[in-house]
Formats: sequence, C-alpha cells, structure tokens
Amino acid sequence: MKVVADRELCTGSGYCVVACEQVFAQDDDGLVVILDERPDESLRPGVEEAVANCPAACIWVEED
Amino acid sequence: MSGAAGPVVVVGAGAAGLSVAAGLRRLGYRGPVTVVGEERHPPYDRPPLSKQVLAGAWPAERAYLMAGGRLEKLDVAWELAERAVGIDRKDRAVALSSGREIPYAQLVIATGVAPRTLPAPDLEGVHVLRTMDDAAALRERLAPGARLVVVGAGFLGLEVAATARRRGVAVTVVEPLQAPLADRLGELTARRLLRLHAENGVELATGLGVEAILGEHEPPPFPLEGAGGEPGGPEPVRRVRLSDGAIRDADAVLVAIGCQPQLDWLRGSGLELDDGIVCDGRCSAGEGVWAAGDVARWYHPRLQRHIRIEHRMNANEQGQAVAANIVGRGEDFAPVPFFWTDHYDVKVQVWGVIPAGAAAELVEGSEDGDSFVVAFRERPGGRMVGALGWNAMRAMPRYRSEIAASW
Repeated sequence: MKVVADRELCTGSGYCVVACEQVFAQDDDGLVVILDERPDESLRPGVEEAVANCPAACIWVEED
Repeated sequence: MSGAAGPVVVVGAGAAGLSVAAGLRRLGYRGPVTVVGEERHPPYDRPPLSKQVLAGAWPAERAYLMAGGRLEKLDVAWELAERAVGIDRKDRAVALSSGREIPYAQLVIATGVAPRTLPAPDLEGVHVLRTMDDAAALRERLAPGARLVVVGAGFLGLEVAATARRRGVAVTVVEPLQAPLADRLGELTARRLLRLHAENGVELATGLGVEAILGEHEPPPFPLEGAGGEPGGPEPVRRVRLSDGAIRDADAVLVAIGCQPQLDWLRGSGLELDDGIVCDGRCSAGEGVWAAGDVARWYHPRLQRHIRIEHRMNANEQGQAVAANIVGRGEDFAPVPFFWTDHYDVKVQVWGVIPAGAAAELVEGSEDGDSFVVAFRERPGGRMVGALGWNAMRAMPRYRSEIAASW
C-alpha cells in the first residue's frame, strides 16, 4: 500500500497521529506529514483507521 | 455474518452516509449498497463551505469527498437528487420522492440536519448556509463593500463573519445571548474569540434579537401570518431592525441559529424520534435500522446518556461504527468527541466534553497569547474530560490521549 496525503485539505486535527504515529506526524503548522509512504502491512489497521476517520478526508491509501 | 445478508440502503449522501458505505467495503461487505441523496451533488465536505468555498479560495468541487476515482471504486449505487419520503419496516423498503421503492435488509438513516429559519418575510438576500448551493448563493452577496448581518454568534455565524471580513464586507453579528459560546468553549476562550472578531472589525450586537428583516417597504414585524413574496418575485433585503430598535443596513442576511433533524418522513415508522433518531449504544434504532451522523441521538456508553453530535468527526466515526455493527461486530460506540472551528488565523480545537460547571485550567500558554491550551476537569484535581487548543494543533493529540486513557 501507498499512503497519500493532500495537505491543502488538512485541518490539523492530529487524529492520524493518534491512530498511527508510526506513519503520520504533524509539521510545525500542525499539518499532516507522511513519515512512511509504504508502511509494513502490520500497520494497516492503524492506517485505515486514520483514513476512515480523518475529519478533513485528506489522507488515503493507494493499493499497489 | 461477516456479512449482512442482502442489500444495505443508506439514506443521506453526506459525510456520515459515505462513511457507512466506505466502512462496509473496508470491512469486506461485498453485497449491494445504495446511497440516497437529496442534493444533486456527490458527497462533499461541509466545513469548507463557510471558509475556503465561501471565500472562493477553492472551487466547489474541491470539497467533494473521495475525489480522483476513489468514490467510483466503492461500487455503490447512487440515487442523487432523490428524497426518501417514507419507510415500510414490515416489508423493508424505502419510498422515494420519484415514486420508486428500494428494498433493504439493513437501512441506515444519515439524513443530517436542516437549518432553523426565522419567520421572516420572503426577501431576496436572506440566506442559510448548509449546502454547497447555499454557499454559492451567499458567496454572490459577499462583494467587497457589501453589508452582511449575521443572526447568531455560533460557530457557523462567526466563521462566515471572518470569511466575509476578509473579503472586505462590513459585518454585524446579532446574538441574543450576552456571552455566546461560553457553554461550548468555556468562558475564557469564548471571550477571546469574540474579541478576535471585534479586533477584525466585526460589530458584535450581543444581548439583542432581530425584530424585523426589512425590504424596501416596511412590512409588519415578524412573526408574520402568511407572509408571502411580492407579485413578480421577492424584493431585496435592505435593513434589519434589532430588538433595541436600532437599524442596520444589509445587502445580505445570514440566519445561523442552529439546525434540527428533519424527521417528519419517519412519523408512523415506529422508530423513536426525539430531536433525532433515538438509538442504543450500537447505533441501532430498531430491527434492521441504524442511524449515523448529525441525525442520530444515541446512547453514549461512556457518558451514560443519549447525545446527538453535529460535528464532522462524528459523522466519520459513527458511520464506521454503523458499518462495523451491520457486519456483525457488535461494538459499542463510545467516541471521544472532537470538533474544530476556524476564524482568521486562529484554529480552535476541542477534544472530549466541557461539562457545565467544569473546572477549567490553563495548562499551556497564556490567555492573551498566540497559543494556549485549557484543560477541563469534572472537579478541580479530577480527571481530564476535555481539552481546548487555541492554535495548538501539535499539542492536542497528547491531551486527547490523556482524556482517552480514562474515558
């Protein structure tokens, strides 16, 4: 899987960080930063939770 | 089941309805899903309507959800520009405004809420803001130099005030409460937010109601009996008369006095309706019927009471919870609520709840500074149940974790 973010849509809720801090972080402005674009499959549940609940719908997964 | 048998029908094509559909697919449900939406638009995000879309910074389509082909991949049947007008729970079918009926095995009601209105005469330029089309109509009125009167100093009204000020519009906000938003943000932050608006040139007429919204000709003050438009179409709004008799000139009026669920189409369905669709802790409203998003009044197992939440995050989370329970996970829905609101360069975020009479403690920054965090406890020294950040985006996940730890 490839994790993608549209940072212009991000509202800085930090939900993604709560759901999966191995993959998502916030920059100095609070906006999403992808730490690992191609995370291990073991992280999929956390990534999917972040994607499903992001209140700005600004992150998603593209399957390879 | 990992699998609900038979078709799932979702009424409501907003964020919550989409979240249900996406959640079902994520959880492996491969059966038919139909989503019914009253508007002609595909699912879109509402928070930008009072900000980027209203400002013109984004084209409306930028707010469409799951753009770039992702929506199509869900393999959902969309019934847009269609309204559900009734349900037959015995035969399990939804009746549509076009006269058709759609059978369901599992029905999700995610119809959201509709804006409250004032009993004003029919005047051109009196707006509400809920839909993408509402935003386009209001945007037309916000030319530089225009005069906008906002009725209601809630989050929506004040966000629009901020957007309008940045477009060079003169803004008056009329609000009956002396201290609006204190119950939502705590007194300290509510005061600070109103000050921010005053500093940006918004006239705040608090402690005042609207007595009349007037066109060129002086109609009687509302409430009016059977007020209708002039022959040849409504005349444009010109003025607003406040409850102290003061007059404000207006090229546009935004009525932002809250929303309410539209439940008339469900009367007689046997579902319990009480300012929302009453659900249990798993968002079930009855055999084969679920509710998600703004319209759902569900029993929050942690808070131990029925609540209804009109926030963007809840639409997602509750949609996911309903999808999980449709496929048989049997999960209680007990989220830590979250919302945010944006004004000028300030973002306010709240995790958890701010109970009436909560003990508020400034835990980061200062109340006059550029950034601060307020923690809310049930009693001084008690556990944290809510946290508010004022331009503190990076700090807030930590407070969320602390709230969740004892949630």
